[in-house]
Amino acid sequence: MPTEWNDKLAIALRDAVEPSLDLLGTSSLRKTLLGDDIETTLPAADPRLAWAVSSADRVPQNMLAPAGASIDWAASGEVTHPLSSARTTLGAVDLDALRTALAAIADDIATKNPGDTRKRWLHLWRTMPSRLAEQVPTASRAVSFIPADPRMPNLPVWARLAFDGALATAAPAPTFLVVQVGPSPLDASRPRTQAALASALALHTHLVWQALLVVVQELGPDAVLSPSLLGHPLCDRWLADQGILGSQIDAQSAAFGSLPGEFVALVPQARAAELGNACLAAVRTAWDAIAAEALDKLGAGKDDGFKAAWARQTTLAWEPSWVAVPWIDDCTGAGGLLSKQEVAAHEKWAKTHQDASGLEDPWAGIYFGLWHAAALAASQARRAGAKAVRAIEPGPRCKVCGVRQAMHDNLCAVCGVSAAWNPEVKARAEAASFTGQVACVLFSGDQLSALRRGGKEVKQGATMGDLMHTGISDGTARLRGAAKELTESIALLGPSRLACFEHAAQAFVRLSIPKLVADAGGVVLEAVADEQIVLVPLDKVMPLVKAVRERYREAFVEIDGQLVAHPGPSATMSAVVAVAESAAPAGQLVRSCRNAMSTVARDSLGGDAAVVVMSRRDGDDRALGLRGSELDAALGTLIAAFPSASSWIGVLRALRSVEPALASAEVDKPSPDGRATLIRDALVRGGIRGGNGEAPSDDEVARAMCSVIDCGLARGDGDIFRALDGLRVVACLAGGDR
Amino acid sequence: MKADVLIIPGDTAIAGVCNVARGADDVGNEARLPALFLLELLRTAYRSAHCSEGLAAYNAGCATCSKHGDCDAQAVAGARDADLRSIGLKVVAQVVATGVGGRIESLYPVPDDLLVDPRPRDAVWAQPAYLETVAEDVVQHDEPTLRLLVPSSRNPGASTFDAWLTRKGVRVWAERKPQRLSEGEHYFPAQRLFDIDVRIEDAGEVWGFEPGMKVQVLHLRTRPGIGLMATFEIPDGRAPLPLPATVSGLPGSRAVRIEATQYPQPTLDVKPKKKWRLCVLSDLPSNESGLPPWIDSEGKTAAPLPEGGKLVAIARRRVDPRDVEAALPATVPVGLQTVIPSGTTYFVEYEEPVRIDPTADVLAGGS
Repeated sequence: MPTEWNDKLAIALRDAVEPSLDLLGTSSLRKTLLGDDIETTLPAADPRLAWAVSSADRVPQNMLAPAGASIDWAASGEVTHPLSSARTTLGAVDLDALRTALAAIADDIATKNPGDTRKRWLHLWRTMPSRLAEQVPTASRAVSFIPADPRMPNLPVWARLAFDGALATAAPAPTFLVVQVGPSPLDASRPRTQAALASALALHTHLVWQALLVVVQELGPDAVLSPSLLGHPLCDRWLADQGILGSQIDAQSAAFGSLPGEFVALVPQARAAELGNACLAAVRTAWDAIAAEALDKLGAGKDDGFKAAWARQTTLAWEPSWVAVPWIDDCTGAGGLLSKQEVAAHEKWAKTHQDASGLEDPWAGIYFGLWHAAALAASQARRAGAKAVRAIEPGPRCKVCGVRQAMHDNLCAVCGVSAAWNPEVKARAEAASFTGQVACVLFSGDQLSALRRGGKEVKQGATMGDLMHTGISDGTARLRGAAKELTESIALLGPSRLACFEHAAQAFVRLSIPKLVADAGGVVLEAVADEQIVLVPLDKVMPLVKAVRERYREAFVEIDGQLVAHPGPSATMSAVVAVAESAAPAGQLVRSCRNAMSTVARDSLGGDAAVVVMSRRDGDDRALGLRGSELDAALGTLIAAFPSASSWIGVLRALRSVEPALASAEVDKPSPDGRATLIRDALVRGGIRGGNGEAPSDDEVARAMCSVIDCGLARGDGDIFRALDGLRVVACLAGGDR
Repeated sequence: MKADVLIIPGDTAIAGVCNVARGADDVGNEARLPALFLLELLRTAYRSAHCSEGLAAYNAGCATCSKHGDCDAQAVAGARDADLRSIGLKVVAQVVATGVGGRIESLYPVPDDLLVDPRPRDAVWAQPAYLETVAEDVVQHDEPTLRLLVPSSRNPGASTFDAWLTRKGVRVWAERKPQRLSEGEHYFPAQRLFDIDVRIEDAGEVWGFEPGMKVQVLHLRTRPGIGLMATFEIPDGRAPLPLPATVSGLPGSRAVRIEATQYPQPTLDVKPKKKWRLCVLSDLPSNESGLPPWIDSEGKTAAPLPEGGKLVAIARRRVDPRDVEAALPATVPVGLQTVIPSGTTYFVEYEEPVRIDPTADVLAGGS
C-alpha cells in the first residue's frame, strides 16, 4: 500500500530539535492528522531531513543554540527578509490562540477526511495557513511568516513543511527533474493579435500544466520546487476538484495563471525517468486530443493530403523534454555540467559552513544549490540538442506563425488549433482590447538566476547575519574565523533560499502585478517569475512602470490584508515600454520589448533600466534607455512639465533649430550649462513655457532635456540629426508624436 | 559528373517566397542561405541550356512535350513540378565565396558547436564545445542514446553566432582551442556578405499564383567581391552544363553568371582519431529518422564515413522561428521536405582511430 502521503505527514510533523523552536506545536498535530498506527516507509535515518538546521543557507546550530532559549519571537514577531537585509516586526503574536485554533482545524480536517492522509496533507499544505489566519484575526498578518526556527526567522514554517513533504517522497535519493515544454508562443515569428497571443499563451500554459499534473498527482504539488504552485490558480482549481478547496475559484484570477515553459521538481531517483516520460506523454496526449477535436471540426470533407499535412504539422508542434540530475552528497561529476568556478564556490562555501559548525564532515545535502544549478544547466544543454531537422513546407504560409503552410482560414494546423482552443480566453482578450493607443510593457527582474543562486554575485543581498533574529545577530560582532566569515557572507542556494525566492517571486507575479495593472486599466498577457508582459493605455504606462519597479523592491507588502514578501531592495528590475506609431499587433510590441530588454536594458545599460521603444512605420525604431535613477529625474520632470500632445509639438518645433548644437558636447565646454542655456533660449523664442505653477522650473526642464538627449544620442551613434530622438520618444509617451 | 561553379548574381537573386513572418524589423540578420536556393538556380540554368522548347512549353509540362522521356533537361533538371529530391541534379555543397589575394576562398557556415562569448563586436572569443562525458548516474534525459553537449568554458552566456568562417577560422574550429577570432581574418558576419530584402510583390508575376495576389519575396544581394559557390553533380551520360554561362529567365527576370572554378578545400589535420565532429555545410535532406544519409537510424555510421562509428551527440542551434524558410511553390513538392540545417554538427566515436577526410558538404574536425 502506498505510504507517500503518510511519509509526508510523518516527516513534516516530526518533533523539533528543541521544543522551544516549534512555535505552533506542529509536531502535536501529528497525532491528529496521522495517528500512531499509520504505516510509513521512512528511512531509518535520512540525514537530509535535518536540512532546516543544516543546509547551506542556514546558520549552523552551534552558533544559534547558545541564544536559542532567550529568543522570545512572539513578543515582537520579528521577521527577516530572505533576500535582502530588510526586517520587520509584526507585533506581539498570541501563540496560544494560534495553537488552539490549529488543533481545532486539524481536528476538523481529520474528521472530514477519515483515513485519507493524502487529503489531510493537501489541506496542511494549502488551506491550513489561510484558515488559521481567518480564525485568529489578531494574528492574521503573522500567520504566513511564523518562522520554522525563531532564531532565524526568514523561513516560514509552512515552507519548511512543504519542503519536508517534497523530501519525504523523493527519499532516499532525491533528484531534480527538470521538464521543459517549448517553444513558447512568445517566440512565434509573426506578430499575433492580442486575442491570438492570449489564446496561444493559455494553450501553452495548459500543456505545461498537463506535465505538472503528472508530478502533482503522483508526488503532490509540494514536490514542484519552481514555480511554486502554492496559490497558483490552476493548482487551486485542481485542489477544488480534489475537494480541498471550495469550488468557487475566482475565474478572473485564472487569467493570470501563467506557467513558465520549464519547471523543477524533486522526485525519487528511481522514478525520475518514469515521471519524465509520463510528463512528456501527458503533453502529447493533451495536445493530440485538442488537435483531433479541431480536426473533426475543420477536416470534414477534406482530402487525405489535408489530413496528412495536419498530422505532420501537429506532430512537430511541441518539443517537450526532460532531464534528471540527482542531489548528491558531494560535488563529484558536477564539473561535467558547471564551470570550475561554480563548483569551487560551492566547495568553499561547504568548507566554511563545516568549519563554522565545527563538524568533520559536511551535511549530506550541503550541495543542494550545486546540483540544482547542474540540473538547470543540463536542461539547457538538452534544449541545445533539440530536433536537428527543419521542415520546409510548400504554398502560402500561415498568417500567424509564418512558418507552416496555411491549412484553413490562412492558418496552419497549430495556430488554428491554438486560436480556437479556448473561446473563453479569446473572448476575454477581445473584450479587454483597447480603443485608444496602447503600450506594451515587459518587466523583468535583473540577474534573477544570481539572486536565486546567492553568493558573492548578489549585490547588497542578505548575509547570513542579516537573516538571524536581532537577539542573536547583535552578538555576531564577537565572532571570529569561519563563523565570522559565514555570518558576513551571502549564502549560496539551499532549500530555504529556493523556497523563499519562489514565494517572493510568485507573490509579486500573482498578487502585485495583476492588481497594479488592473488599477492602470491594463491587462496581463503573461506573468511568470522571469518576465511579466502587460498591455496598458499609453497615458497610464509611465506611472505603472514606476509603481511596479517600486513594488518589486519592497521587502514586505500588504495586499488585501495579506502580508507577503517580495524580491526586496537588493533586487532590481528593468522595464521596457513599446509603443507603435500606428496600430500594431500585440505580438509585434512584445517582440520589440524583448529585443530592447536584451540589447538596451541588459547589454547597454546593465540592468535597473527603463527603456521606451517607439516602433515606426518605416522600421527605424527610436529607443530611449534610462537608468532607473534617471526615470523620475528626467522623464518624470518632462512629462510633468509638458503633459499634453500639443505642448510637445511646440517644444520639438522650437528645438529643431538648435538640434545639431544639442548633439555636440563642444557646446558644454565653455560653460557647463551651454546646452541647457540653448534649450531655455529656444523655448523662450518659441513661446514655450512649462505648464502651471506646480510644473518644474525652466532650469530643471532644460537639464532633464539634456539628460534625455544624451541618452538618445548614445542609441543613435551620435548622429546630429537624431539629437531630438530621445525627446521625440518622450513626446510619444505624451501622445505628442501624432 | 561533379563540377564546381561560382555563381555571381547581376542583381538581387530571388531566393523564394519569404517566410512571411520575417518582417522588415530584422531583415539582414540571416547568415544562412535559404534551403534549396542554389539547387533551384542551377536547375534553372541547366533547363535554360538544354530545354530547346522554351520556358512556356516547360511550364506547360514535360508530359506534353515531343521530347518527353528523351531529354537531358527533363532527366537532370526534372519536370516543373518534380520533387527536388528525385531530380538528377544534386547540389553537393553550397557555400559563400570571397576573393582573397586574387584567389577564391570559400566560407563555411559556423558549426553549431562553436560558441562565442556574448556581445561580439569586431572580434569574438570562441570556445569550441566538446562532448563532456557526463556519467549516466549524473544526468538522465529523454534521449538516452545521445549525450549532452556542454560548452567547454561553461559560460552560460555563450551562444552560437551567425557568421561564416574563413580557412583560418576553420582551422581554429578543428583545433578546438578556445581562441579570439578576428572579424575578417577568421570570420565574416553575415551582413558583410549579403543583404536580404523582403519585398512585397505581385505573386502572379513571379510565382504563378493568382494575378494580383501579394506575397513577400526574399531577395538576396551579395556584397561586392562575394560570390556563391556550389558543387553539383549531374548523372553520368548527360550533357554537362556549358560554362561560363549567363543564365536568364530566373524569377523576377533576374540573371546570374556561372563560372567554373576550383573548390578550395580547407587545410585540416586529418590524422586518424577516435572522436570526430562532422559539420553539415549546406542544408541537407534528412532521412526518415531525421539524420543525414551517412548515419543510420540506429546511430551507426554509413558510407562514405568509415563504418563502426557511433553517433553520440548532436550540436545544433535552436531553430529560430524567424529563420528564413524560403520555399518555391512551383518546385517544392507537396510533401514535406525535412532538411538538416547547415551548421548542424554530429559527434561520432569509433573504437579504433579512423581517418575522415573533409568533403565538399561535410567539414570533419577531430575531437
